[in-house]
Amino acid sequence: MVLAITLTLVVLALALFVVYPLAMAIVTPRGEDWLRAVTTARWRVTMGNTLTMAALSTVSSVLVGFIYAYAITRARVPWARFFTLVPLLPLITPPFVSGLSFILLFGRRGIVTYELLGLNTNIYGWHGLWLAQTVSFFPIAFLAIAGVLRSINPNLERASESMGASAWTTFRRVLLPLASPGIGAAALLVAIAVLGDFGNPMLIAGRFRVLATEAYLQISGWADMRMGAALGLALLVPAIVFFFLQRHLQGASVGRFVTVGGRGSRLEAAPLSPWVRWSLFAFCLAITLFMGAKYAVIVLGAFTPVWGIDYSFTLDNVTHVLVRTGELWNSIRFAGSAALVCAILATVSAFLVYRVKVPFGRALDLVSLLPAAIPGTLLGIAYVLAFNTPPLQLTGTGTIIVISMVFSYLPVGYRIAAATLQQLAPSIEESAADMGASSMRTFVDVVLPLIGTSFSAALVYCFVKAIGTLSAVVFLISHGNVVASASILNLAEQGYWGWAAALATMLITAALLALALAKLVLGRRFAFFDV
Amino acid sequence: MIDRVVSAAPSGAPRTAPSPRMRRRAPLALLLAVVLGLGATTLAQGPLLVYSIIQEQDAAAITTAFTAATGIEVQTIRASGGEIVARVIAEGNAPRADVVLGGASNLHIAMTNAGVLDPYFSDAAPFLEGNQRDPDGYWTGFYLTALGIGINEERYRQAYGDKPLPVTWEDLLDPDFAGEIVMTDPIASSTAYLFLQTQLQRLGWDDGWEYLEALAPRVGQFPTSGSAPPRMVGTGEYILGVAFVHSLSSTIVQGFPVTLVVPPGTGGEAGAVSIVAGGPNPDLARQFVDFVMGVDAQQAFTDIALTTPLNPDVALPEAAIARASIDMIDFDADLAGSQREETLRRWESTLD
Repeated sequence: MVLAITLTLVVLALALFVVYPLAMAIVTPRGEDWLRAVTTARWRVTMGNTLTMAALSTVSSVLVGFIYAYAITRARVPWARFFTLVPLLPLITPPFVSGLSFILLFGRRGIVTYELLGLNTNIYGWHGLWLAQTVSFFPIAFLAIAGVLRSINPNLERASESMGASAWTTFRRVLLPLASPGIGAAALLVAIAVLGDFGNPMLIAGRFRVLATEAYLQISGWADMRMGAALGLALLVPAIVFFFLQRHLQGASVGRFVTVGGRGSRLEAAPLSPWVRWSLFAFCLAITLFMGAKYAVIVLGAFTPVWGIDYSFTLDNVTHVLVRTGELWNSIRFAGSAALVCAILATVSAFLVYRVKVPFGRALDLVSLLPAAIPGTLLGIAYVLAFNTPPLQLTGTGTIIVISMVFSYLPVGYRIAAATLQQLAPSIEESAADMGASSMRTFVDVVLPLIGTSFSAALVYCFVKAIGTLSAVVFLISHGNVVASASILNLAEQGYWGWAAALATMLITAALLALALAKLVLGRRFAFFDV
Repeated sequence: MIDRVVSAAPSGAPRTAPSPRMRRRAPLALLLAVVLGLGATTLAQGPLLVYSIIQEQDAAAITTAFTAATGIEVQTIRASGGEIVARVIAEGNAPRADVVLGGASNLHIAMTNAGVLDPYFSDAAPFLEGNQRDPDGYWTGFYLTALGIGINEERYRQAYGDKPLPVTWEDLLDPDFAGEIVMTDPIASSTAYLFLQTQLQRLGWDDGWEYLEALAPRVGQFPTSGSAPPRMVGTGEYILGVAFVHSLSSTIVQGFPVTLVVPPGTGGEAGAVSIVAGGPNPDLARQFVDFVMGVDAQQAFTDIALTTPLNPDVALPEAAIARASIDMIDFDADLAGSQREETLRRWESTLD
């Protein structure tokens, strides 16, 4: 009974806030809009740009992510533990922080290009966007690929080398083929993230137009919801393809690893030649310094009166943004509420699929993961279309912002919960059931304590992502519900870099505090990025 | 400068019955108010919901003065002109704002034509001339704007040596300037739309388009906010920028090395305030419009924004440029308002 109600609620929530808005977005553009979308030269160029950019940024992100992951998991470079933490920073800060910091670092008056090197470079354009997206999204590739490399038993490489293969041959003929499905899956995750990225193109792309910003312009400039939806949907098509490919590859790579070796006999990876190892160390160090510069410049910018002209110390920016604590507080409470709801929904939904094994479990599984393929821009548009009129009028409220955050990050929460549930032996629950516990009782008394860790991971992950999210939220803000990320973009775009940097610093601090708090409360059980 | 964007509790809007969610959040909102140090302010009514096209801190100068004078809280959302117009039109069936503050009159004309404004003929503005307010009272002007060119002279000298500074609109077509000009996107920004209309009205429709099509490839970037080009020229991101004269003046006052040129035959029009039809607080909206016409509001606004005030009793700050020293074309705002869609569609297809 309880189960039936829970299932109904979950299905209803998913139907209402994922399927229904998406359906609304799909039926909104008419034939003539589609015709205009494909015949207008401007948008053909935009579509080409979007795909080119997705390809470029994905390749570079995966390359950087792979080398970085290889250095840490295989080459055992010095400071490996420290290097593991570095890519986590971009994951917990809003992606558009890259765009902002690169203007400060490499712009016309950038501290590196102008002050140090005396160059006169133009960061605005596809190359600036490429750099910003690579730095923003390589951590996604790193995490996925590091997981893949760790799960490949080094015994195989040892075996290859003991049979006389060189280190290079082993790398090429053993490790790469084993890792390739996982790398492919990682690439597709990155590609989906790049497609939906809104803040970086807005800040740093110059005249290079991509679909996410173009859809926004259609709605913000023209109030043309039909064309906005059409361009948003054009973004969905490749994203959905990538999404299913990724699911396929993920499955393939999981199957491959299980067949490979047990846990018992695991040797350390063979040592690499010092030359390779130190080159990899230098690579990691360079990335780390780059990341350090990226955040240092934001903090520095927060205390600089006029970047590029007056580098004296000031607290003016900070005092200015102190009056925006309301926006910061909005970000925190919206993200907090969303994280809680998201973690609960993700856990319950994963439980229904993997444990209760409800009918249509595969459909539930798919719909829970589907938002991962929906670019934020399209989600925002779809929500405006679906919830702008009664009976379910939610636009203009903070609630709709919270809901958009919940469903944006549901897939991640769901993946975390599903992974944990698959690891738990069903026998524990079976014993509880044998002793007469109802399925709800089993869930609360047996499963909940066990999945506490994954629940908290989902909670924290959703919080740190939601607090900086922009692409969907930008369509949904209203009086009294302005969030800090939208203001940062607004200020940065108006050229108020000091204020933008100060507010960004505060937002990042809030996210870091949340992480520290979780670590403090949960202690060793807190395993944030083990997914 | 207190920024009212953040200040009011979310439970304030009186037009809807409080939802359970809102009621649950009321203590939270109260706490928020106390935390922000606003607990001492009694909320008279409202809050008044403002969509602002002028910059945040400039709008705050007016709204803070309004709150100080009346005790009425104000909540502001700022966005560029096109975005606000699109928002107000899109929200036509369920308006979420009371007032649109600032922005060229052609934007207000576009909203008037879309039927989303309420007329109000303020008695507080007897000084307004013919084209400074709508004859039916749909919008009321309170400042004047004009377009100019901002130049980062240091970078200009580095790049072009002794080449004379551009002084006319035609000078911008110099091929050397390719990629070094910044102006806003006319689809989103009223500043840039005024620029398009200035050229179309100055040169005539066909020659005007010829000019615009020649200029478009010279532009390095089209940001959406009218305040971006002055800053970007000031910091040297671009050498040349097209922007409002007052906006460039403020950038100079803030210490940026910008040289201001006002080309002959520039365009400009009244910036206006208007009332959204069916907004939640119509009485407060009218009170606000009256207040904006007064000396207090216009002095506070002029002092920070350096615009030319329409109220003759306001003293012009030293850094502002007097209307008399600008050579302006006889700008037809009605024409600009009615041609908006046609012009912008053509512009959209002009760019690759």
